[in-house]
Order: sequence, then structure tokens, then C-alpha cells
Amino acid sequence: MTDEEREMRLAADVREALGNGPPSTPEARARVMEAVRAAGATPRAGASRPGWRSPGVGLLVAASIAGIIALVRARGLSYVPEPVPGINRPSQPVAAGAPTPARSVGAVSDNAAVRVQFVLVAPDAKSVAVVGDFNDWNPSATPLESARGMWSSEEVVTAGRHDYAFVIDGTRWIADPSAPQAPADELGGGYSVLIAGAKP
Amino acid sequence: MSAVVRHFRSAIVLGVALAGAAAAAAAQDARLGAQLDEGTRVLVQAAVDSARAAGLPTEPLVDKALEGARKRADGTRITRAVTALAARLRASRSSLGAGATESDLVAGAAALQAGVSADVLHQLRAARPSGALAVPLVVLSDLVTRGVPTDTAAAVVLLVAREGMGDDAFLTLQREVQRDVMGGAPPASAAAVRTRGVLAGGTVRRPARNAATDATRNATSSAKP
Repeated sequence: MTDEEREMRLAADVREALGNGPPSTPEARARVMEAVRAAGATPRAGASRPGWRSPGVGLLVAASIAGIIALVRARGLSYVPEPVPGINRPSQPVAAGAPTPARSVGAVSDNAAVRVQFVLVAPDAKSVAVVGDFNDWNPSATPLESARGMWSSEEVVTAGRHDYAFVIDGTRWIADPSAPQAPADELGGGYSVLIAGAKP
Repeated sequence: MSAVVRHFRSAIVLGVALAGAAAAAAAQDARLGAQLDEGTRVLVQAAVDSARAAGLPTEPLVDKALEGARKRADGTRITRAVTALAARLRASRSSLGAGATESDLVAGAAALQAGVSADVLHQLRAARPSGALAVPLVVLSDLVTRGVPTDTAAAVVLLVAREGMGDDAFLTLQREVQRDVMGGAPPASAAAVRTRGVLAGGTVRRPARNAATDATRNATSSAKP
């Protein structure tokens, strides 16, 4: 099996796992992890996406599968984990080459609470955190948990537009390669945009 | 009797003054004090206060200052970033209208930063007179950031908006263009082709890869096995 085939298989497995239920539940997470384990191999850096070999992005991004899935309910801060037809089930893959922008999960009003899941596959990372305007860009506030190189975390944010980035090993800020990018500004670039509550 | 009245009045004035001072202190964002040096905090707080007085959202400005602090930017750079963002928010509101949401305004400010003209924002508002614009604007900024020429990006986003299509159409467009560009397609071609697909309500064959880009990448790959 070539590296590209291996990566595509991994992506397909992740898609299948995430597409079969609300990924926020322990069962769904277990399916995702099982799918990753079933893939059998750690994606090799830069295996199939030569465009990801840019020096600024590096091997971790080249090997990463990243995405955001908004799993939300517009019910205040309460989150209902059971499947809601047409809402919980991601309709798009969360995989390299098939990026998933931030998406909505039902009608969400302004200031509603939206639960989102951040996912980054970075097998070589020692730590990954997500920073954004929802946590005051604090690298210590939202560490992601790893399962064989797949880092993830669920957070509740307000509906609307949010900037965010991943911080790898405490020092390296990268944009989510699977999400819309924000233009560089006076502080530089390197972050992505989440539209919590946007209807997919 | 008059002395009692004077004391009573003095007490009221003092109370009002204390209440005002407390309100002013409360208006200062404690997060700024915790993350910025005093000189920078004062300048950022002044920008925040000015934005508040103008009816602009202030949270994006505080966020920008905190982002700068976390990135260990110096105070001058942080202040410049905050004041520039305030100016873009002002321009964004001028184009999108007073009814624009905070997300719309921030997305508009980002689009302006990406190089989109204020006139395009105005046209987008005209195309969606009462709808939210955050998603189209985020997609527009993303397309430009990914290398789609500004005019082309604006044209395709306006086209989709004028067709009355929803946010899902914009998100599909963004996703497909991103995939094509990452796969080596020329950004402008990807945007044009994928827009046709979105307008047709389906997907179309992905644009051909850019031979020159492929050659460059092959060379890069060879240099970095």
C-alpha cells in the first residue's frame, strides 16, 4: 500500500467513524480512535500532499488531518449528545484533502452556545493546544488530548466568527489546514476562521 | 438647616463620583491589565474606549491585544494592530451598515485586510440586504488568502450571493477551491470552475493541475527527500 493509499484509507476510516454518529459521545470517539488504529500506520510526513511541504508548515502539518466539527445545540450551554436528525451527523469528511470548514448544526442565534470539536493529527507532537479569541489566545487554556497522534478537544464557544490556531509543543503556532484562513495582519498570519453556527 | 443640606448635597456628589469611578474601572478590561505593560494597556484601552463610543464592537479589539501579548509582540506592534483593526471595523460598518452583526463586521474587517475593496462589501450587502454576511465574507477572505485574485474572488462571491444562495453554497465553494488549490490547481481557475459547479447545484470536474506548479513541487521534493 502506497503512502497516498494509506492516507486515503485513514481519511476514509475517519470519515466513516465521524459520519456514523455524534462524535462527541464516548462511543463515537472510540469509533474514531478505532478507525485510526485500524489504519495501521502513522501517516508519513508529507506523504501525499507535496503542497504541504512548505517550510513554514513542516512535517507535522504535512502529516496532519485537521478539522472542526460543530456539534452544537442552540440550547444555551446544554449539550444534547444523542443524535438529532440532520444536525449531528457531519456530512463532510474531516480529512486531509477533503477539508471541512467550520459548520453549523442547526439554527443558532446570536450569542448562542455552540459546541465545537477541534481535531489535529500530529503524530510527532508532544503537546497540542488550541488558541483563539474564545480562550484569550491562552496556550495553556485548552490543551488537546492525544490518542495515537490524533489530538482533539471539544469546546463551547458563542455562535459567530472566531479566529483560532493550533499551538504545537508550546511554541509553534499553525493554522488549521482544513479550515478557512484569515489574512495576515499587523501581528502576522497563521490562523484560521471558525464560523460557529453557520448552517452547512 | 442650610448646613445639613450642604452636607447632604456633598454626600450625593461624592457618591456619584465614587460610582462613576467604579464604573470607569469596571469598563477597563482586566484582561488587558493582566497581559499588557501599563503603557500599552493605556493605549489599547483608549482605542477600546473610542470604539465603544463609536458604537463599534470592542471585544475584537481586546482579543487582538491579547493575541499580540500571547505572541509576545512588543507594545508598539500590539497598539498598531489594535488601532488598525479599529479602523477596519469602522470601514466595515460603513460598508455593511449599522445593522451588521459583530461577526459580520469582523469578517468585513478581515476582508478589507485581505485587500477586498469597501465597494465590494457594499455590493455584498446590497446582494443580501437583510441576511448575515459573515460566511460570504470569510469565504471571500479565504479565497484571496489562498491566491485567488481579489477581483476574481469578489466576482464569484458576489455572483453566488446575487443568486440568493445560502451559506452552505459559500462553504461548499470554499471547501472545493481549497481542495483544488492544495492539489495544485491554479487558484483563479479553481474559483471559476467551482463557482460554476455551485451555481449549477452540483460538483464539476476539478480543474487541471498547474503544470508549472507541479514542476516546482517536484523540484522541491527532490531537494528535500
